[in-house]
Amino acid sequence: MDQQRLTRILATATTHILLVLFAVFAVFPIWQIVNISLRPGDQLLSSTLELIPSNATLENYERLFTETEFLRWIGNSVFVAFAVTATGVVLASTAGYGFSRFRFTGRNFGLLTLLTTQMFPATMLLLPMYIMLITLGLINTFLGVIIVYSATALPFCIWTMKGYYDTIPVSLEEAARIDGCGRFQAFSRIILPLAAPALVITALFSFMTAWSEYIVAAQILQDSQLWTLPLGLKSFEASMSTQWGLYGSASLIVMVPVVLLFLALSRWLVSGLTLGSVKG
Amino acid sequence: MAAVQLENVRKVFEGGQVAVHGLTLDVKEGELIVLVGPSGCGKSTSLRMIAGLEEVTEGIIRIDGKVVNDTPPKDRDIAMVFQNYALYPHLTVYDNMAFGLRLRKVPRTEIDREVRSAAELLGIETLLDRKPKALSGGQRQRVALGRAIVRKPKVFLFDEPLSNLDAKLRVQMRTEIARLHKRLKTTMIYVTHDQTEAMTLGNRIVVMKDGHVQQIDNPMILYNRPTNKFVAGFIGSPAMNFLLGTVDRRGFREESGIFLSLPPRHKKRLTKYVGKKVILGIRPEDFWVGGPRNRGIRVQVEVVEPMGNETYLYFSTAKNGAHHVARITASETPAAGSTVNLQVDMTKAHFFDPETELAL
Repeated sequence: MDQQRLTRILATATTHILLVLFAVFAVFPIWQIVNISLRPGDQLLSSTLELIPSNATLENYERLFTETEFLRWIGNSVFVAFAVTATGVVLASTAGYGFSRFRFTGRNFGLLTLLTTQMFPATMLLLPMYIMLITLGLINTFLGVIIVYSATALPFCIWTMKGYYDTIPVSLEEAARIDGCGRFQAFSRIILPLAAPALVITALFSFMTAWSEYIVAAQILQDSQLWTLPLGLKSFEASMSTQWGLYGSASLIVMVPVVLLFLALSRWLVSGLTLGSVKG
Repeated sequence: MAAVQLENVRKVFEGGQVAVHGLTLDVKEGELIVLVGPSGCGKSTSLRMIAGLEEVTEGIIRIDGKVVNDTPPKDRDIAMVFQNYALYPHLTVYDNMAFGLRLRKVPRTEIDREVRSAAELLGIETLLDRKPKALSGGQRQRVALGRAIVRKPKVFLFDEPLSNLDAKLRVQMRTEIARLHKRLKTTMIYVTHDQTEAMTLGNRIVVMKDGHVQQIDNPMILYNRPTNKFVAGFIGSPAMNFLLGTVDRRGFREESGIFLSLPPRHKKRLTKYVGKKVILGIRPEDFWVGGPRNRGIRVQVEVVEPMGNETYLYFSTAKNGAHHVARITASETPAAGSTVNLQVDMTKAHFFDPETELAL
């Protein structure tokens, strides 16, 4: 076996070992949580290496829906997440368009400021936001969290949208305006459908920001009737004991909508929709 | 069909850059006028102002007698074909062509009839269900033309529509546009940097440079009687040759010593330039190989480009090193590096003032 071939085999083997290791790291926690949710009682630790525990039961799932406020928390989370997504999509798609297509005083400053806001950790902004929401009387309201989540997600979403619009030739809009569209119609009928991949990213990012957020929600939503899923999940943890079975099963159910969203929207994530519109 | 008038139209971009200086133009009903010039001459900006895609800084634009300075593009009743086609990628060819009519709430049956008839006219009836990305460059440009035609606009605007096509397709599409104009008889304003396109398509041609109009005339007048050195050099391919020299009582003496005697017509015209410097312009086809040695110019051929039916000879005059080209019949082709005697048809010579560059 010559030296070159050996090197190639070694390189391939190393790559594969590394990839398998990373895959294990990614999959292990999910497997673990599946396992916990199926165990009877609240056993967190188990020495068995069985993929599915031998005494598996759906009891935790049943208890989750019958003995807790899980359905309400789902409803609250869905409401907040969809409101944040809608706000994100509407504001980011229009603001991004403005930044991409128009030259106005303060444009560069605006873009840089949006970028700068991303550099501060969310926890640092917690206190000023809390004070602001108290002043506005928005503590313990959905509107409060929706505003904070939208404000957090928007800068990234605006940049994403702006970057995508930049790749769409202006001549498409001009053609539409000559064909009979007004400015807004050219935007909504031609540019927006072409920006679908960026809109999907914006929607997913906004949704995720709201769906899995804990710290801000914990400060703002104090009434258990208003809790979102992360707050509900945290409530399974008590000072004396934690209901790991419920925690596991709830975590898995929380994951489902996100996975479904990604699957449903994945075909839109394929960019290059503008291919063929212009020269080439 | 409508007339288009531009009165002293000026365009100044933000930052003070003047793109168009006072353009005045009267496009007659049914005319195909071509705006031609090098990059940055203001031709596209002028077209975009007519389309309503750029604001007019000063001056008036009229379409069909109506001032349209503040009319949005959609209400100007124009159609535009873009250099990069600008087809809507998410719509099929049919929907691309029907888009404008749908916006105008034209009945569905009428839209269908118009789209199919335009598609038939352009030979794209089999492509109606395809998306733009599944079309070749030539097909895309046909769809863009079709999208313009179905609307039956008062004025067609073309912004370098053939620039992205290969040479063969360009010639083909050029003929198609000419045929289309003949058939539709609609006013067309066509922008190009290609003087061949301008010459072959235009009823009249507007030559522009640095935002100024240089000359507006029909193609043959532009070619035979250019008003200045720029027009003379821009129109015609290969370009006109320019030689700097002095006029004396007998003829023209180039700086390197080349002497060309002047026919009586030119002698009379250049009387007041005797002893002064002028630029002599000679079209490449006004040279021929041979003739007596004591007449014409002796040059060493640097490069020979055979075109089949004719040959281009490249040479330079010794002193200033300016490169020149002669277009001769294929049977006269000499070898590269050889020295030949070139005769010049001085009856067709052009003269320009070296300072103002205006034709004398």
